[in-house]
Amino acid sequence: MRILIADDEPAILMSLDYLMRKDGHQVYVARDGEEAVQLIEKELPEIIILDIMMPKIDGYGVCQQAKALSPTYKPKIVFISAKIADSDIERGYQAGADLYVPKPFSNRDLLKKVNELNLQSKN
Amino acid sequence: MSTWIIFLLSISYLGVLFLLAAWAEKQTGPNKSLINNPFIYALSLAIYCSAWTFYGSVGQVSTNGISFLTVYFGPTIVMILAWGFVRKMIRISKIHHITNIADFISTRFGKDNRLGQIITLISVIAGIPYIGLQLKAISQSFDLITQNIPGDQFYQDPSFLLFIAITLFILTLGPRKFNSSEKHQGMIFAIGIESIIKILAFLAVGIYITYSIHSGWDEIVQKAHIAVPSIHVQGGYGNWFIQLVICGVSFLFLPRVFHVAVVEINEEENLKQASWIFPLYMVLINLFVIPLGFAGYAYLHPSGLNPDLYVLGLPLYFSSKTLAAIVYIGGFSAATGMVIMETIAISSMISNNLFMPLLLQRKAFVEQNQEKLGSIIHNLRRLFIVAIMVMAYAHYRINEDFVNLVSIGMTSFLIVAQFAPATIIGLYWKNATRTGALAGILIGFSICCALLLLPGLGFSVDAFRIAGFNPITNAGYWSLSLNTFAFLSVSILTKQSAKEANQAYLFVDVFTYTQSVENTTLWRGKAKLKDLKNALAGFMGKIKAEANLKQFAALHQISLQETYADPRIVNNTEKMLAGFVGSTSARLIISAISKEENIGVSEVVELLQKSRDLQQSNYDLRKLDIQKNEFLTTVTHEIRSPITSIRSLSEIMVDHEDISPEERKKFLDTIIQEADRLSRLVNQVLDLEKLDAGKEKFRIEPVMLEAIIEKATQNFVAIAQQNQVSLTVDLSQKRTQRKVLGDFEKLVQVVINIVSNAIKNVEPGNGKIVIRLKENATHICIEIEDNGIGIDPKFHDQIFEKFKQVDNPNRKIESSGLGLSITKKIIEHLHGSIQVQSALGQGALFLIKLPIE
Repeated sequence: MRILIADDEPAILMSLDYLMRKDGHQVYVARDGEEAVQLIEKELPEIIILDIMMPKIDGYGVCQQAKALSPTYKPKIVFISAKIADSDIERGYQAGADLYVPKPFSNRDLLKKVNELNLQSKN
Repeated sequence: MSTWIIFLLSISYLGVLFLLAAWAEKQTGPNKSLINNPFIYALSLAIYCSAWTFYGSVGQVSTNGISFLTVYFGPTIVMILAWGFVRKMIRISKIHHITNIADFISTRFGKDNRLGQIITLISVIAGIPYIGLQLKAISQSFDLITQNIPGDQFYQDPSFLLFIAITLFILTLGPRKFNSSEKHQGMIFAIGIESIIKILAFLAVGIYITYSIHSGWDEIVQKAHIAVPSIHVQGGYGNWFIQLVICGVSFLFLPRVFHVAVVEINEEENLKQASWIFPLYMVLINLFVIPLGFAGYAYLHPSGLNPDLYVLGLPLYFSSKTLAAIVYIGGFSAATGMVIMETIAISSMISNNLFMPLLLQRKAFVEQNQEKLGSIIHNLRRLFIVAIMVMAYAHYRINEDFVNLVSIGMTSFLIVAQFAPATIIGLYWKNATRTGALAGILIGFSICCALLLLPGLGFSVDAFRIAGFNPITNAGYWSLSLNTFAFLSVSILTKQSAKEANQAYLFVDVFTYTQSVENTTLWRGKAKLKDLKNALAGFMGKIKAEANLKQFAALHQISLQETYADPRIVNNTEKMLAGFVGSTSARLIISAISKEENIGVSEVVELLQKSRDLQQSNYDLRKLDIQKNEFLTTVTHEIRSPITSIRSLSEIMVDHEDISPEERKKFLDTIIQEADRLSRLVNQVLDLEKLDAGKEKFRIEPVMLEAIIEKATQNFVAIAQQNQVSLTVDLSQKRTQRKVLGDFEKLVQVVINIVSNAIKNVEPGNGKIVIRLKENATHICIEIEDNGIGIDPKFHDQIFEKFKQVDNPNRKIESSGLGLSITKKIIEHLHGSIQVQSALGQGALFLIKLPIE
């Protein structure tokens, strides 16, 4: 499965990259929203993991653009964010997220949820 | 002419005037514009022109030259130039329900009864001879036109009957019982009519003498040329100037003028028009003074007639009886107008400021006589009017041959002018104190008395005589200057009470506070509705009082069923009472009724002021609270990021035992970095908190900035090399060894903060950072310039705020977003400043200016 990860924290990017690769996925990384959009247009990943507060284009914006890309392209969107208030989470789901994971997260949890999403998309 | 004809003429004049006044009194609705208009207002101001003007100025021109003009220039200048001051007085009086000049000044200085009493007494002392003067003018003109030779006793004097008639006239129209204001609509209308009559009569005689008997000014001047004392400025311009000042400043403080100008005015708008109508009136009434004076001197001087009677003597000399009668009525109207208004004004002062406070201090009396208070005051007021008239008459009889019209008039002006420094300055200077006002007024008044009375008692005051000044201007010079000096210096030396300070605020800033005062009703005490109703009924009658209350209650949807009155009703009652008894006394009545302390207008303003301050600090606190919350949210958010990395990377190393040694090292390094970042963040938050709270300790000492830069740059040698960034220090522009006062370590931190930002912002391999020192006479400036990505000018203000980072691809490598904020706080603590000059793509220049030791 192909996964795009976008976060402006290099350390988080580094760890998620390793985690997803070891789990057998094809991983693309982006350090800001603009880079993410470009990669999505090019690679059409099935799963997109997005930080919300990113330079240039924020997570909501990237999510919106990804969803509007083509009628046949239906990626699963995962937000990972330090914004953890109920209102933030609600807003994330309203923006079109399939999953909202508050930071800090447990790797195992995240992997498990992402794989569940993957199964859903296959069904 | 026959005594009886003139007598009847006078009485019927009073009768017609009475009917006009009574008619005008009833006018409401469409006809009201007849009374409430700028012309009537301006004409009523012409009450200033009394018999002294009508008869006296012609007398003066034939003896003293044209110095009489100062008497008219003074007020004219005031009405034209000091228009704003008059408007301020009017606005203040309206808000505070001021009924007279004593009320006005005492209210300004903390509602001080003593001050009000002293002003009342001084006004009475100045006013009674002045009223006597008018009576004298009436009597003399009556005797002249009827060729009557008065007997020795007053009852042998036919004009005595006229005084009784005038007194009755005032008693009927003056103090009214059932009216909640000191306004006398009908009376003002009558006064306006009188002003028209006096000016018409004067113009008539002027035109007759100048253009009918003679061919114009030239002929009169020729006739009188040799005989008339030359027209000159007596005593030089100093004399003139002082007289001008006396007349100008006393104008508004004459009880009658204050009454018509300030108390009786219906709309402030009227003042605007009056500021040209009144001066025009003054010009017209003076038009023929000089030719009449000359003619009088030419024809009547030989007969030995009192020059003050030339105006009436001239038509008699030329046997024009009708014109003589017209002139007589003109003079009569000038005199009666003054007498009527002055008596009403002074009696209001005596009752509201002298007597009522004494009466109302007896709470038991007030409580027992609540319902009768109105009648009591009404009767007292009448008594005072009679007393004033009797005293004025007595004064005139006793001093009949003693003085001429002008000197009494000027003396009276001068005494009243003593109120001017405290009032005028007090309207613009908040720090003026009650003690200062008392000192100024008492000293000025004493000097007047001393300089004007002592010579009559055989003492010489020549030591204080200024060459060229006449006794009045001499006294004017000393009294007014020492009055002002005493007022200012005592005001500076003494402290205001809280109440005085409030009143000062209220008066000086009247235009700012008008709204809030009128819209505010605050009441701390409790007053029974029944008591309020009774008090009001005592003045306006039971039925009217009840109707009034009901109307007010209905308008504001207040229930009248409660035992204790709604604050708004208490306030309204006080306002209504103020119309009858003045604001000071009204306050006293209300506090007698209420069982607890009340809150007056001044206290309201104090509270308003306080609540405004509270509102402001509440607002500030809330803003601070919001900022604090934002800060907290941002801090927790910033903390979450490194924690997330640390947690995630550690978990990977736990779960994946097969991780390569290189990767393991990379991850562990990152964990260490992130842990460092966390601790740095925590430290900076604490630093900022300490700086914000002022708890951060600074070790202030003279420091060499060169040493600071050296220490700071040491930290960057390695990283600059690694990133291939050139970091240069240029000290060539600082040639002296001067130091700044600062904390060495903190300044090093400042430089590190900015340089590390610069290193992040420049392109590796191509970056240039220059640190320069510059100096001028007062400051040393550290400039840190880079050729990095620059900062959009729209963010320049934000970058020094907490957590305000501008989008930057390298951001967060080592910055928490607090560095610049801390930097700015440190610099400001050291009385320096920090600025940034930059544009996107243009690099950035940070300028830190620190004052030289």
